[in-house]
Amino acid sequence: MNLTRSAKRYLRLDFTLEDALPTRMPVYVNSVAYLFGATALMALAWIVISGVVLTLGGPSWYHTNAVGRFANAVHFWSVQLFFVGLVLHFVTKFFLGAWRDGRWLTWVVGGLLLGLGVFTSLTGFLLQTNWDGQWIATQAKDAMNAAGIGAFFNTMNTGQVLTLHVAALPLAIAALLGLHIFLIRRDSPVRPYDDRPNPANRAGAAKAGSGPAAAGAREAEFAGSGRRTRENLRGIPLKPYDLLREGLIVFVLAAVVALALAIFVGAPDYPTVTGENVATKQPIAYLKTTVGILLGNEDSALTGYGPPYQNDDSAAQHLGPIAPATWFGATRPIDPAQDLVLAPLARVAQINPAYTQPLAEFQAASPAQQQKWLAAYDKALGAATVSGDTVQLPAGDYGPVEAMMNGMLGLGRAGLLEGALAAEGNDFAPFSFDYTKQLSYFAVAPPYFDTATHLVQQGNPQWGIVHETGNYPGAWWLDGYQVWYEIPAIADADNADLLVVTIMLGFFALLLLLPVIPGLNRLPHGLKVYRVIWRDWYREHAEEGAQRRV
Amino acid sequence: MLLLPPELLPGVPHFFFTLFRVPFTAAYPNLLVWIALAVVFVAGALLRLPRFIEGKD
Repeated sequence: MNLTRSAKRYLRLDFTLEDALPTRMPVYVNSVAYLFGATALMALAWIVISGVVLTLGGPSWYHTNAVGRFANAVHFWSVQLFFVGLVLHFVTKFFLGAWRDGRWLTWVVGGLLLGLGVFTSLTGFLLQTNWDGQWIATQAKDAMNAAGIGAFFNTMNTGQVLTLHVAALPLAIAALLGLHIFLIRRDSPVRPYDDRPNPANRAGAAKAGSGPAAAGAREAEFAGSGRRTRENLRGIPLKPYDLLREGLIVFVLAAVVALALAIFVGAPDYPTVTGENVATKQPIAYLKTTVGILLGNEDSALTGYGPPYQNDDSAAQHLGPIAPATWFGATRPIDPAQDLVLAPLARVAQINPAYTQPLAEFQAASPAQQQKWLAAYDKALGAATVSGDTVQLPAGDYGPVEAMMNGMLGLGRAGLLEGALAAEGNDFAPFSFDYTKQLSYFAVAPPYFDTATHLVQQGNPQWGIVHETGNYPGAWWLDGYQVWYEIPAIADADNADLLVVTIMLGFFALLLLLPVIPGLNRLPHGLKVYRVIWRDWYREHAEEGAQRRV
Repeated sequence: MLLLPPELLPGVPHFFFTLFRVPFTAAYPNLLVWIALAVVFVAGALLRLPRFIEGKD
């Protein structure tokens, strides 16, 4: 078999240049609803353009550079427009039953693109390297870990997030998008419902008449089209169309919307919550978090977490016997007490020998004694007062813990907490793009929750990744995911993340398989929304029917 | 004390819904987007494709 000859024959007979770049369309393509897909595509073009500008200076330059800030705002609003177009495109194609007549693969590829787009947008939100990225990274990790994805994808590894966002995911989207557009152009827009059974009743056939002359006219209408297009659109009148003109117009409109919003509204960019500003502005919360980590309280996102941080499978989220988090073990081992507190404190002791003795005393004590000191200190924090730079505690037996905590507070106030956490166990310092320890230190503690509450959600933090920021829309396309966490029975369950991920995977599978699920695949026909979008077609059809009756 | 400067704290009102006895909260930016989506979908379904897209020779 000569593959080259076969490909040439396919391009000559089955997928011609006229199929790829059509200058004619079936007359029923007559609604603005047909532009939603082009809107998503052209918004994607602006995402790529603004994204390439953003790559020029690296992931963080936009915070301080006017050009970068503008490019980031264009990127932000292009993404919003992209999902507006994508969701509307999906809804429209659902109501038109666009998977009919062998177009199921186009639908499936479109569904995969939706999933890929959502995941890519998540990496984009993580990549903001600001408060939003910080909050979303610590919130999103739980679902990833519960589903076992956390073994391979770490929301707090900004290096991995960056390379996925700018290379692997865009390439995957480009490949699937190419296939999606090829299938769309190969198969032509789906016919209106009730159009196929009897060719004699088709509007086009009636209009074009019959006999050799009419057949010749119809043949001329399809000049240049491939066999598949002729078959799919047989009997359908065509009208002039200009695909590139449509693309250009939508491209300009998308630019107007994205640029106007970027200029007049901008994009959110709140600074991060750092160890320094927690230690300075909320020293008691800082100390409470730190002593909580030593106590083994769930005051750090990583304490008692299980895989991928610890080999404690009982802590992993289970759904019956299934616990995907345990399948790959502790791929990123972290001992919170040692790695987040005691190791940084050892560095403090190297700089200031006054902390050497308390640390040695603590480490030499029995676990029971350690717990006693820590619990007493933790309790005393409830009655602590802040006076200038010092935190005053009521008198009590805290052993060496009070001195140790003062050392950690000093580390935070000096702005060195994140640096001390980064240095530990990194033979390739200063190179490290994994901020798991730094980001998770305050992740489930008041500093993050208070900030989220004050910043955005007035008394009702949205725990998850939808996360509207100030007056800006968030990832509203994930509302359907987020809403499950609003159900108390799910939100309060130990395996809430695994439950929600499972439910959403079920819905996603349902969406992909919609074309082949009996009953569901006829739903659009029952809903009749297509009659609005194709109303000209049906009106014309009805008139011809009336004439024939006369 | 707040960790971020007060000027960065806009304060956003919330809308509360009860759907199947499930309290669902959404801040208005996202809610506005959903309303805009519904409006654009209806408008898109009702409006005819602009003639200038045809680009007749």
